[in-house]
Amino acid sequence: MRMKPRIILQIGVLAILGPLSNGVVRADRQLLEIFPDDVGAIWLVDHPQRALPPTTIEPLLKTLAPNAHAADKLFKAVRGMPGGFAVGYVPPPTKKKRPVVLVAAKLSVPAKLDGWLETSLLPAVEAMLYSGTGRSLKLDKTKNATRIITQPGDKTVFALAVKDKIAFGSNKPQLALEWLRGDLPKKRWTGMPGVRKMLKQLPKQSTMRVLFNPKPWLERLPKPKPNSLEELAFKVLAPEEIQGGSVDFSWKRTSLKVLVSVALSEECQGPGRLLTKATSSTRCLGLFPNDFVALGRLGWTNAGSVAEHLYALSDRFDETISAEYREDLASFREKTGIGWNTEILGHLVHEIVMGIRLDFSQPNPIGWAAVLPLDDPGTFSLALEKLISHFELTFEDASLGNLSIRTAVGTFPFSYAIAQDFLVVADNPETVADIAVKAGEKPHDEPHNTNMKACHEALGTSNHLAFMLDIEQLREKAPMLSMVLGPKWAQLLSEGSVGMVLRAEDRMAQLEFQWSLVSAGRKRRVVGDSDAQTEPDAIATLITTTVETLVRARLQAKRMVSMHTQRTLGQSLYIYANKHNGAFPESLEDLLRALPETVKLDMLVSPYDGEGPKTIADVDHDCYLLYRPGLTVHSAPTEVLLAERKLHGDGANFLFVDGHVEFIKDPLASELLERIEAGEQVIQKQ
Amino acid sequence: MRRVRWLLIPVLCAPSAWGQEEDSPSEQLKVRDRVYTVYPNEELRQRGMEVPEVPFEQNAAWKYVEAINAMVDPPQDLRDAFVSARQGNWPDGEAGERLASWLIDMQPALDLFRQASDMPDYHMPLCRGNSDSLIAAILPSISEMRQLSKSLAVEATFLMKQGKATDALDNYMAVQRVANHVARGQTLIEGLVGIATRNLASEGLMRVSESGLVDSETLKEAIDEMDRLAVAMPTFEELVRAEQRFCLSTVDDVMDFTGAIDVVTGGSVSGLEGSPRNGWTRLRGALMRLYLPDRAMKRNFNRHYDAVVEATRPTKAGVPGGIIEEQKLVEQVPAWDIVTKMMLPSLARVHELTRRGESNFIRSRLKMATEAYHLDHGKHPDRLSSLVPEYISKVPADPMTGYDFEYRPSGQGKLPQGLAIITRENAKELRKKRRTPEILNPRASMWRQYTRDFVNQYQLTDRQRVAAESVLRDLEARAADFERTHGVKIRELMEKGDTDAAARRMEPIDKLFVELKKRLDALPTAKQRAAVKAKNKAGEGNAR
Repeated sequence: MRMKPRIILQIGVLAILGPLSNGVVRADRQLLEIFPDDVGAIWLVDHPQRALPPTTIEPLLKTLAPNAHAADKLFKAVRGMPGGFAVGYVPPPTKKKRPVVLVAAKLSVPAKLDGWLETSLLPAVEAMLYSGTGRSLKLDKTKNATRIITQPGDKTVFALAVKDKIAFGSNKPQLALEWLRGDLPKKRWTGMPGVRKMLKQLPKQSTMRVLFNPKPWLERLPKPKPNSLEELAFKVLAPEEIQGGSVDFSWKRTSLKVLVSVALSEECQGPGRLLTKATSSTRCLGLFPNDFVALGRLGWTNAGSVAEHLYALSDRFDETISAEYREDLASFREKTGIGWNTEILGHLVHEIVMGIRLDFSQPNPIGWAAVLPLDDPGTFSLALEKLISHFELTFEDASLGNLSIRTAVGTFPFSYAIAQDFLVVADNPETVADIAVKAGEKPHDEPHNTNMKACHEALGTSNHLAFMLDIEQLREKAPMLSMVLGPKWAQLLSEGSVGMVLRAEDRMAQLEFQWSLVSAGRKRRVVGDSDAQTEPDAIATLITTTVETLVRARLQAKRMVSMHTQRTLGQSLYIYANKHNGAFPESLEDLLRALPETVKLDMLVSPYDGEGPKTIADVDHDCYLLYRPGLTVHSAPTEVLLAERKLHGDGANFLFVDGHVEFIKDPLASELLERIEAGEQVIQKQ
Repeated sequence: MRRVRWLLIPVLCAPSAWGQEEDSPSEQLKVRDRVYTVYPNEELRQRGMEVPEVPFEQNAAWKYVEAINAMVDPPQDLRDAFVSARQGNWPDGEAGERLASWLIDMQPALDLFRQASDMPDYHMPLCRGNSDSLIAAILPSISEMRQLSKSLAVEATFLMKQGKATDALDNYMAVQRVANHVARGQTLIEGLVGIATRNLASEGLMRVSESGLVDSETLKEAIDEMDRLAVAMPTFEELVRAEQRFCLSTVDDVMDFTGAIDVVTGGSVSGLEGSPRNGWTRLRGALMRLYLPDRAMKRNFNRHYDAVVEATRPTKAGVPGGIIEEQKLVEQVPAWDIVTKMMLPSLARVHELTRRGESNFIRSRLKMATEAYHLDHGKHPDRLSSLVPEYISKVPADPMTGYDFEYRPSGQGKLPQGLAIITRENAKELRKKRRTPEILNPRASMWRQYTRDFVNQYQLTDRQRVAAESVLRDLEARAADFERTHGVKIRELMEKGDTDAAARRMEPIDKLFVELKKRLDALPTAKQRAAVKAKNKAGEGNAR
């Protein structure tokens, strides 16, 4: 059996990490120097114990491991990893070749390596992979290296070597020896353009980090066909301008941060050029009332510059598009007498801030508003009036004190007002008034909403783009979301906030995401529990809930495949019965022999574990489905005709004589299966 | 007997035609109880469409609409009988009698239809669909005109049964004229309906001329008229250009928000159907034009249609063009221009249908000429060139293959072969016999020259000559097959300058030439061989 790359990676990681000293070991620059320039990604963990605490790792492993024994073994192995490490992945040059995994770690006590491998790692891997197969792993230690060998077969799946308290290993055994001789790396990844600078600019503290080297990935991509969408994507996105990237994960008990950093080359012609200007801080977030559940901002020089930037991107594939745009701008001015970019968009400066409020008691439950600072409200008003007059746009006017609010007639509903130095636009005049009255108050540079304010501060107030969502308010305004999401997600999404910002500085673009599971200034409460009880580790709940959701979705997909197979088999059984006086076959084997074109052997491979009968003769023994012989088309429609041999999750799929397939939950599913095994004459769903 | 009265007068017909004074026609068209709004000609011209200026009283379109409104549908249960009669087989028994009765009901409509076909000018207006977008435009008369053409064919079969072959011929000639009218519309779909109608007429004319019941003078007159019709029939390029104008106009519709949505939903989803043209819609349109690359999209459309037209032009050597790899032409449209890519129609099939229609038209004309010759000389001509100049001005090549027609005179009392109408079934065989495409041309012309020399050298009889031509065509068809599978690679190698590799790849074609020589060598008789041998010997002697 060929080892899967993911498993090799797990073995490699665990092999290196066990004997690390009890103290904190930083996976620092020294480890990164080991990786060659063709490495595609490097996973760095500075403090495994902090990154993988028991409260997080234990439920996670229980979800992922095939059984409790394996989860326990794996937990012990993982908890034995006391220091920092780095795992590199070299993408295969062709699809047929295997990827190369490289693992490097700093060892405080190198002598402990073999002991940890033998007593912690190998038993864990065996419990995960080889349980009940008779296969095992063993260590083979030579003078220079330690090899992990499969039994039987004596095949080396991993080799590692230790030098100067550094351990280095790979699934390509000769690499460990080359490293020991000093022949690896021939060319360092850290020596590539921009990488050192990027590493310097990354945050000093990070619980877990994944570094990316785009070069080998790009080299391995097939050359796009001329004039294809792929070629267009390359031209627009200019991936060659990315010198490196990283994703940093940091989490505390009640918050999660993800920081994506991209190092750009000195000269950017692609999207990177949009990020070359300085970041800015908001001037209008504070204008939005408390009850807005989401706020977002886009910083710009002025609104017209956005189109200029986008057309500059289009120049990369067709210069005539931007030339035509400029001609059209001139034509617009000629026809209307208004400079669209200069007189209208040019006065909308600094940023646009948008907000969404929810109120399900209103006919339009989702309301919106936008605020745009103006550099010269007087000139802007004149140009706007000219535009309105030229196109004969119709409005209804209303006044609120000195404020004039205009509501559009004959198009989608919106209202606007010019208040102080701001253009306020919203879906109704009341919202415009709500925002406009605050224009006279100052300052406006932070949200009023407490959760969003905390999020805004945590993510940094200077950015190009920002988005914030108050989860607590969202839950209050849209309680039906809890029902849609299910209890676990509803519990996680009961309070706190989500935020995201995009910023760039000194050729480094960063997208930062933060999820705070606790509302600002409060302790998190478990839904349905007494007020006194606090959640011990919300992030652990988040991770396990996410993993559980994924696992459940995967099981559901497999269940659907099985249902489809049973439905198809049901149709084939009816075809057979039509040719045999209404009698279904005596066995699935008979069905396959009678309808070789319709029912193929590979249809009977289990979607749950990939196992299936090798020959037609094995069908009734090795198939994951259990067939009930002796029935006819005249049997009761509710008689079970075919069923999954064992439960998957909390039930199994059953095919009935009337041709329908149904998922039946336990304990009824188990009872029905037992009765089929016992050969009862009548088996119907009650 | 039920008579349909002319109550459904098309609203479009200008009142002046009905005794009232008015300069411009109404903007509505009534077709079989339904009223449609017509696009004003000026609006269509502003959208870039080519709209001819046809005076009302000279425009056959209004007469056609009158005919349509006078139509009586055949009873549903006579559908099979109708189809059979349209194909030239009058149904027996009650079905035949009822069909004849229905034809009497149809007389007013058919008379009007024939009158319309005689009119010189034609411009059928486009009608608005459920939005202003031109892509939603409808042609309410098009299927009815086809039905009327089929009805004329049914009546022709009835006339043939009664021995009135000349009247039947008139009917089919009327259908030919209708085909010319329809094909001159503003859309590709009208062009395709024109081709289908022309095929219907060609098929019928073949049958009438084969009957021997029409005198040679009448046939000659019909041939003359067909010559005139051939000139007026739109070419593939003209059809493509009409479609090009239509597509360019739809780009303008896409720029208009309502139009863009309607392109996808037909107005049903947007809810903007019929949204008023107010200041907001004008502003929206102006901003769409400002920010979207409408002119670049139009350029891409134009480039594509130009490339299609270029590909279908015959070469200098007379080899008919063709759209061999249409997908490659579509791929030339820039990847960003997804709208254009989505809106481009498949034109390879249109080109194929055009070639087939043109070939059928010529075949029917040649057939009529051979039958006229037969009436005048008591036998069919030995070769088509015998028809020139008395019956036809020249013998054209078959547009379907690029070669001469495979005309073969048969024995006494039998009809000559090689001029049968091309149907969907036999079209495949003819396509295989097409003249070889470009990279094989030098070789193909060499083979052709060799065959011609061989025929002359051995003084082959007509029958032997036909056999030699047949051998040549067979090998050229195989060479064309080879071209289709290996041509791209060979062309690439030639472009790279790797002539050795290209020559190696073309070895199978050279082997075909060896086979050609071998098969031609088997044709001459011993006497012909001896004559050539003697001649060669004498030649050698003289040289000495």
